[in-house]
Amino acid sequence: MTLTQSTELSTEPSLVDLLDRLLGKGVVISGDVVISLADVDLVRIQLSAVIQSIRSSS
Amino acid sequence: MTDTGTYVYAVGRNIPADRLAGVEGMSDTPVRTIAHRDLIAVVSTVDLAEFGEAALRENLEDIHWLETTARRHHAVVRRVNESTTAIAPFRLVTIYRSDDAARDRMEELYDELAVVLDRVDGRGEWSVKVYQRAPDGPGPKATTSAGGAGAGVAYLERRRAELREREAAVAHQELLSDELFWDLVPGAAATRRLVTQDQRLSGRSEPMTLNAAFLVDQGRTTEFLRLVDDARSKYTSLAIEVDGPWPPYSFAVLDQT
Amino acid sequence: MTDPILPFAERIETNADSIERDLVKLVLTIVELVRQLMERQALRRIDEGDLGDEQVENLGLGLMRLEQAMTSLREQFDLTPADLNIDLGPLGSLLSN
Repeated sequence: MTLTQSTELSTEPSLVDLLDRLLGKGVVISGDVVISLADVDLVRIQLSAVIQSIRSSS
Repeated sequence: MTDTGTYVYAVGRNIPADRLAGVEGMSDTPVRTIAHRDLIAVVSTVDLAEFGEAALRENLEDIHWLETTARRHHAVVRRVNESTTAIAPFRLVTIYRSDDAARDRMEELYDELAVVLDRVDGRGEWSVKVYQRAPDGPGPKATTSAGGAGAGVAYLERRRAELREREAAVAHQELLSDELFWDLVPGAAATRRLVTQDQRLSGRSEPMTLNAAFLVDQGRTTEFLRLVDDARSKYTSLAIEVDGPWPPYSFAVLDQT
Repeated sequence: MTDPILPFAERIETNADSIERDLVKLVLTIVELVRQLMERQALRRIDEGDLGDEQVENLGLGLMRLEQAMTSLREQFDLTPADLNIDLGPLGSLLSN
């Protein structure tokens, strides 16, 4: 009990570390790139789709 | 009268309600306890306009809402962890229709919860993250082949050698990280390997080769940290980060909540 | 309760001044990706052994010129290889340096 209190985390953990534990599948980057201008989303490029099309044509 | 639900932060044993006095949960509502047999659930009432299934679908994709909610959840879990030796922290957004529904679920999960609480009693979670250190200098460049081969073939041979060398280096680092993991295992009561973090999330320029959680007896913490220091001296090509003690999130995993 | 997977979309913020640079960075990242995939694919084909010597030489020359062109484009826009690095999750980080 005392050890827990004396070695208590004095700083907040990083959001990523927290979410890795609090969300079932942790944090995943899906590999999409979104280009926006003045907060307006213009283009969403799904890189996974680009890779797939190259592989299937070779 | 808006629809409300019961948000569960954790379930534990021997949690004195007065230790949680003044603790605020989601939307600043007071945290309270629900008792069932020898189990105590730490909960608060939430508005389903924000925490109902449809609302959650949107809110969980909002990074600001997610951060606020995650930090509040963790703050409550930490307070509970300080007040007892055995706590099963729940993941984000476990919500039941009512206190009675939560109590029913505790009854259904009683055996599993008991196993978890026995496992984590008097123990803390320590996070160990290992990164590949940046190499001291550029690796040896593959030399071009002897005369007779064209420039195109020479280029291909060079690229092939470079790719193989890189793959070998990565495999070697992974093997070392695995050895490191096993060196630390004797210091813990339980371990769990987590998915390594993407570089864009870790913010590090080197790749993460190990992301592990160790459940360590409170009385054996110094010994465990000594094992980590030994690993630092032994594995000079790896950088090790230790963080803890955490409430035992990684060791309170049930098949379903 | 299902476990949420949090999609992190990488957002490239552009304003009038940096549009060109941001778009170039995006395009070059994709081109670099394709170039690396082509190299790996070429090596696989060569290993399969169904290409003649001249074909292999021409393939190598083509890829070599592509690498040189990429380097010069990168330098023109003051981008490092790290700037063009992109992690695709299970496919891993594809750049070799």
